Formats: sequence, structure tokens, C-alpha cells
Amino acid sequence: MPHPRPTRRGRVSRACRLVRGLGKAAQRRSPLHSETAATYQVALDRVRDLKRLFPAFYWEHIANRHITPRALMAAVTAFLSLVNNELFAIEDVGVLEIPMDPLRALAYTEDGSRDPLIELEEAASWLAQPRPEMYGVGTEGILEEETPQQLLTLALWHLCRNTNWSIGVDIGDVIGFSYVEQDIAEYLVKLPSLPAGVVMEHLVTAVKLPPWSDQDEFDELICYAFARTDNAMANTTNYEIDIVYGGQTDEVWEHALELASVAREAAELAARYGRWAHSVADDPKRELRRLAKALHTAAEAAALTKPQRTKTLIEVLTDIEQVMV
Amino acid sequence: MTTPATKIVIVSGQEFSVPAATDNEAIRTQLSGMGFADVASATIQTGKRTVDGQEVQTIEFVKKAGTKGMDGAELAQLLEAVPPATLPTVRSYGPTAQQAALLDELSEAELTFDQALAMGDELERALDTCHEGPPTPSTKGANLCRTLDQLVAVASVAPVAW
Repeated sequence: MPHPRPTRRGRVSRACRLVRGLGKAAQRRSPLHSETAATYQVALDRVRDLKRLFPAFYWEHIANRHITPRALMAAVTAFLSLVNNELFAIEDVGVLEIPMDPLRALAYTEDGSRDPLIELEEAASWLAQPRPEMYGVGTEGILEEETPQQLLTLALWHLCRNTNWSIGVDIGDVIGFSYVEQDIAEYLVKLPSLPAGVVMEHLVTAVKLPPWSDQDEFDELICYAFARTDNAMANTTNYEIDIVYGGQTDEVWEHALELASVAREAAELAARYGRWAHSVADDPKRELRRLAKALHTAAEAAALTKPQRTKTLIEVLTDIEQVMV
Repeated sequence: MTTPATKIVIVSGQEFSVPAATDNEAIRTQLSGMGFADVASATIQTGKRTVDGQEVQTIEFVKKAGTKGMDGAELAQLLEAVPPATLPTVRSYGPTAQQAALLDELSEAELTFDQALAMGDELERALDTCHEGPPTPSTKGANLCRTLDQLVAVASVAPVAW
């Protein structure tokens, strides 16, 4: 008996054709690719923020523009420029060019070398959750770059290394690896640290340094060096956000106005600390000596004014009994 | 010929020897407690077997047949009794015609920023539909379809009722 010849008929089962047909019937055409749509969404969200946060600029320059990729780019970069100038500084990750002047951003022109939609697409996640600049002082900043604040900061860390605000790393190593000149570093490490057991919360209120500016309060500036202020952005470094928190800064745009207020305070604090640090850097040996003396004096004063231990109930009752007798 | 003192109990292919006088229902209760769950509803078939020249009574617990064992009439009756089920409708994805028109307007630069923002969630929902794709078939279903796709039809040489 001849072997039955295979046939092409019925090769695709009816069930499969039916399933495929249903799939086609259910699908409708999407005029935009998913990535493009997501880019439009993120960019329009920022334009919505622009309208909310800078209404005058929005109505004057943005509202009546037709939405094109170029106009989207212009509106978004103008918004970021306004945020940088008026609310808080945004970390520059180099994905978009943000001019200082928002009106310059509006003059964005395509030179053909880059597609604004692709640029926006690449910047989309950053546009959704950018990281505001932080103002904290940390070892990474001291070790990685030469900052004007580093000598003052290192001095404070060294002098308070035995207190309850010790930064938890070998400060001698940090000084050794820092950009501080060798003779100054040697001078610094010879300055006596505060004795162990000093409670810094008490000490800072007692510090009296010859004022180099009438407005400065040294307690707040010393707290700043140890990330002990009331301001979260002054207590946090960019490094911490990037490495410890994986660069995550949630709800930046939702809380832009509150963040702006915190950032302004943190920036002012950092600037005042910077001015003090500059005065220390200008005459390091004299200023370091004065700082050490002031801290030791304050430590003694703090110890004297240390609040009395609260009496226990038994002690109070015993006192009352003695009075009655 | 003497009367055998025992009888054989057959359940799930296993055989036990019990005193001949043991009550069958007592055996059922005992077996149920031993983990033979089907015994509770099983029917008892009695029989005889010759063992060493003696005729011994056998008690076999036979499971009741489930639907698999239904004959055509029973199955038809069952199907008549089952209420009809409504199959879920095929889920559509992608923008509606109105949303597609809106997306066209957006991509063709026909909207101003203020018009777009004034739409609120409407535009957002239209853009959301661009992220929707066809439902992913199950691996099992996909494999079945692939197999059926590649299956070469062969003319049957055997009678249908072979």
C-alpha cells in the first residue's frame, strides 16, 4: 500500500486561524510608539509643573505654542532653567543642555545633529525624578576634590573625634589622604582633641568664637560639619543620594515648593560655613589654634553647666521625708 | 466440605482476609478509617474463589463510576442540566477611535500646550493606550498552536471506526 502523501491542506488549524483572527480584530492602530508616548507624557508633565510653578512665564511664552518635539524640548529646558534659578539646583547629569536664561531655552533650534524627541526620550527618567543638589559635608567630597571647606571640616572632625559626634572613621587617615598641605595637616593633628565624654549638644551652645561676621552662629555651623542641623538637604551629600539611596529622590516635582525652601536654607548655611572656612584657610595656623581653644573652653563650660540629673521618685520622697523630720 | 473460616476482602487491588462472619458494613467502616476514601461510596460485589480446594467468599468494594464512565444518554442529560456559561469577551487594546484621533492631533502638532493641558486625564489616558500590547498567550497555548501549525495533515487510511 503506498504511503499516504502529506498534503498542505489544513496545515494551519481552524482553531489557530480563529485565534489569530480574534487578535487582529481586537487590535487598533496606535499612532505613537510606546517610547514616544512615554516621552510626551513625561515632557507634558513637566510643562504642567511649569504652569503650576511659574504661571506668568507659562502664559507668556508657552501656553499658545503648538506642541512639536522642538517646542517640547524648549518648554522642558526653560522649565528646568527656571527651577535652577528660582527653586533649587538640579543635579546636572549631562543629558540635556540647560541654559542659565530660560528665554534662551525657548530659542532652542534644531541643528540637525540631534533629534529633540530622542534627546527627551533619553532624559525621560531623569526628567521624571531628577536629584536636587544636596549641601551636606562628607568624607567623599573631602577626599575627591579640593574644597575650601575641607580644612575647617577636618579640624572640627579631628577636635571632636572622641566625642559623641565622632564621624566613625579614622580621621587621621582622612587628613592624610586629603588635599590639605602637609605642614598644615601635621599642625592640625597635633592639636589636642576634646576629651572623651564631651556631649556635643551641650558644647555647641557654649561655643564663643571671635565673630568674623555679626550674623554667624557657630553652633549651627558646627552642627553643619557633623550633619546635625535641622535641614535635611544640609545634612545629606550628593554621594549619599547616589550611592546609598541609588539616586532615588521621589516626588521632587510634587513637593517642589517645599524643597525650594529647604534648599534655600541649606544653601545659605553652606555659604556661611564656606565664608568661615575661607577665613580659616586664609590664616590656617592662627585660626585652627583659636578654634581648638574655643572648643576646649566651651567643653569646660558645657561640663559646668551640664544639667543636673533628674532625681528619682525614691530620692524625691527621701528628701521630703528628711524635711518633715 | 467444611465452611471456610475467612472471607477475602478486595479493595483497590489489595486483598485482605477477615473472619467470614464479619459484617460487610463494619468492614467498610474499618477500611474508610484506614484511608480507603472511595470505599465509603463504593458498591459491594460478592463472589467466590477456590483456595486450597475450598470455596471462599470474596467481598469486593467497587468504586462508583464518575462522569468519565457516563454513557451517551447520561452525558446528554448532564449537559442539558448545566446552565450555559458566558465566555469572556475578547479584550481590546490600543486606543479607541477617538483616542487615536487625539494622538494623531498631538503627533501632527495640531494641539497647543494649553489645549493639551486643558484635556487633563483624557490625553493621559490616550497616551497610556500606546503602551498596551496584545495579551501574552500562555506558554502551553502557544506551544499547542505552534504544534498545530506545523502538523502535516495525513489522509486517513484506516476506517473511522477502526
